[in-house]
This record gives sequence, C-alpha cells and structure tokens, in this order.
Amino acid sequence: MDRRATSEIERINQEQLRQAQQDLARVMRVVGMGELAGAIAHEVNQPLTAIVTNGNFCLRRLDAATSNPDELPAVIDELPAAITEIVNDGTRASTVISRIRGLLTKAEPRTTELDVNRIVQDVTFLLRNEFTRNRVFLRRELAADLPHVSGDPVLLQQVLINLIMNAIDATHTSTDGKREILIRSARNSDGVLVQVQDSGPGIKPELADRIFEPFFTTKAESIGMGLSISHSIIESHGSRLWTTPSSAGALFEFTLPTNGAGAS
Amino acid sequence: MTEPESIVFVVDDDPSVRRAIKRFIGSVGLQVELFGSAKELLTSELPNVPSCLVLDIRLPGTSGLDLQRHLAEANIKIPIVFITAHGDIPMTVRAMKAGAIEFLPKPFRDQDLLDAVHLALERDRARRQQDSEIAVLRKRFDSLSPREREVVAMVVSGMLNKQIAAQIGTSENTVKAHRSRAMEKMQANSLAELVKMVEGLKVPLPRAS
Repeated sequence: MDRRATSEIERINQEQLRQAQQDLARVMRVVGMGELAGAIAHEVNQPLTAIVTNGNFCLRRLDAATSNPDELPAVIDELPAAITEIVNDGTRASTVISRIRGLLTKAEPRTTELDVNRIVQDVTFLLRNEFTRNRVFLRRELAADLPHVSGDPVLLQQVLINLIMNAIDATHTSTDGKREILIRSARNSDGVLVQVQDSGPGIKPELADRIFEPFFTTKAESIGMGLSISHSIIESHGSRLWTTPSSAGALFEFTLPTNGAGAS
Repeated sequence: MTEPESIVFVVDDDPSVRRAIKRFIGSVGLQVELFGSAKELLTSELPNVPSCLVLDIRLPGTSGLDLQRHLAEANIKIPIVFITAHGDIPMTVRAMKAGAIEFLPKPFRDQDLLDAVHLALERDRARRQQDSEIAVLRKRFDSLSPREREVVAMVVSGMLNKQIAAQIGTSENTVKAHRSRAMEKMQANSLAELVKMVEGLKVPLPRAS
C-alpha cells in the first residue's frame, strides 16, 4: 500500500477518533455510563470487525496458495495491503481505548473552585425524569455554608450521575418496596463529604471488595466500569470513594478537598 | 466489459470495515460495490442483475432499518443481510420480520457472512426468474380479447361451459371457441396449467356460484 493511502487512512482514523471523543464527552455528561458502554462497544467493534475480516481473508488466501502454488504470486501481492489494514485497525482500536481512559480519568483536569451543593442540584435536576420514571423519592440533606472545593465539575457530575443511577437500579430490588435515595453533603476534616444512600438491599459483604474493580458487575446490561471509573476520578482529585456497611441499602461516600489541598 | 453475473452491495459508514468486506467477499469471486451511507446507495443507479445488500444497522442519517423500509416502500426487492456492532433483540426481530435474510453481530464469522450472501443472491436470482416468467404470462394475458379474459376468469373459477354461456348470454359452442383461443394465446396445454398461470397473475376472479 502506498504512503498516500496510509496517510489517508490515518487522517480518517483521526477524524473518527475526534468524533468518537466528542460524542462520548456529550454522552457522558447527559446520560452516564449505560450509553457509554454502547458507544465504546461500537467504536471498538468496528476496527475489530475489520481486523477479523481481513485476518480471515489472509488465512483463506494463504490456504489457497498452499493447495495451488500457481496462486502464490497473486497472494503475495494481496496480503501486504490486508495486513497493513490489520495493523492500522489494531492501532485504531487501542487508541480509542486509551483516549476513552484519558477522557474519563485525566481529561485535562479543568480544576476550578466549586460548590458541591450546586453540583448535586445540577445533577439531580438533570436526572429528574429518571426519578419520576422509576418512582424513586429523592431526599437531599445539603449542609449550608460549605466551603468551596477544588475539582473538575464535569468529572464530578459524572461520578454523581453514576452513583445515583446505581442507586436507582438498587431500589428496584428493594426488599421492603421502599424506593428512596438520600444525598447528603457535610463538612468534615478533609473538606466536604458527599454521601449517596439508597433503600435497596445493600451490597453483599462478599462482593464489597470487588465492586470497584474494572468490569465487575452484577447487572446483565452493564459493563461494570461505572464504579471503577468513578473511583479513578475521585482519586485524581486527591481523595477517595468508598462504601460503608449500612443497615439500610448501599452507602457510597467520597470527600473533596477544600481549596489548595490535593487537587491535581 | 461483460455484465457481472451478480453484485453484492455493502453499506457501512466505516471505511476500514467496508474495504475488509470487499476484499473478503471479492476473494470468493463475487463482485462487490461499496457505499458509505444509505443516501449514497439510494442516489446511485443499481445494475439490473441478481444482487444483495450487506447493510450496517447504525449509519449516519438514514439507519439500516429505515433503509430497509424505504426499499420495501419503493418496491425494490433486494435481499438484505444485516451486520451490526450492537444489535438488540427488538432490532433483530424487526429486521427479520421485514424479510431480512440474516442478522450478523460484528465481528461476524467469515463463513456466516459468505453463507448469508450466497443465500441472499440465490433468493434474488429465483425471485428475478419468477418475475420474468410472470412478465411473459402478463404479456400473453394482455393479448386476450376482453371477452376471452372474461371467459378465462370464469373457467378458472370453476364454472362449466354451460354456466358461462348462460351468464354471458351466448351459446356453449361460442364459449368453447373463446376458451380454446385463450388457451392457445396463453400457451396453456391443459386446464390445470391455465389455472396455475392465472393464479400467478393474480387476475380478479368472479365468485363461483
């Protein structure tokens, strides 16, 4: 394959990547992790499809050349282009993945001073239809006069969206039929504490250690990245996300440092 | 350049996937033409040979499923093999109900794609054969006089010559003459054959009394 063709492929790949990234960023802000799973699946599946198809083509042609040596010159002529595409698509798939990871965890940390209560309000407003649709009662106990914290508002929104969507899912299997989510903010020694608690059945103790692992999930339609990504995001803010055993449902908590402390 | 025996049209918005499919299907000796969107396909002139469509569900603009509907509405009867990176069950059901040959999740097994494409081409070939036979019959039927057509319809619906004669107010011999001229024009050797021909043409029949 000549160099012009290769650089054309490169250009198209770059364009698609940019497009994918923009789409992902938008999706993340608006809907959260479920859509993200589909977008990742699609972006990675396309190059994989091309790789598998080109790979099969190469195998079939080699097979043909083995059983009929007259075919060999033609096969030697055809294979480099197909293999070049396999290499390009492999690179493309891995770039998609690393861009996504970069987007989620270290996406140009636009750290600003922010009001945690404001973020909670924004996110719960964004998700108001989800609460209605799932008949979940939302309670907010937001402490007044919280100090401002340092953080990336978009990433923190993503964490909250993810925790709340998980909480909504959990209320579906609530043992006493109660569907309630409590979001609390409070001042503590590290800065500001945020808690998301649901009225679901809670986290099985034997699974508690694993829920932050990538690809760990208990849901059929989930890829199990939500908590793992949220955990990384809070870590990139110099803090941590954890779960506390609770008598009622699952309780997730994270702290955010006040100005000047910890944010990267 | 001779007319190709058959063509596989591929619609996928991903250029890598398109090229890979062309290379692969092309390697078994089939001619392949590529399109990046439903619009590209709809605005180009498709050659009149046995063909099939390998169609991605997720396309910019008109989706694969919408394209399937457009084609059906325009009475373009090209068999479709769907490929998709994330098809769900309702989507599959919808596509198959609307007559798709196969629904393959990406990345597909190479043999599955080839089998589906061959089946699709075979279907299209058979359908074209049938359409051209019907066109011939239609031409023969159109050459009948109005009275002959009337008599044929009555014969096919099971009426006796005597009944037909009474109904159209003529003699049994005249009916017989109409009937044999009509058989001759239709090139039907037997009543059974005539019935089969008329069935294929979907001629409106009088209700047998």
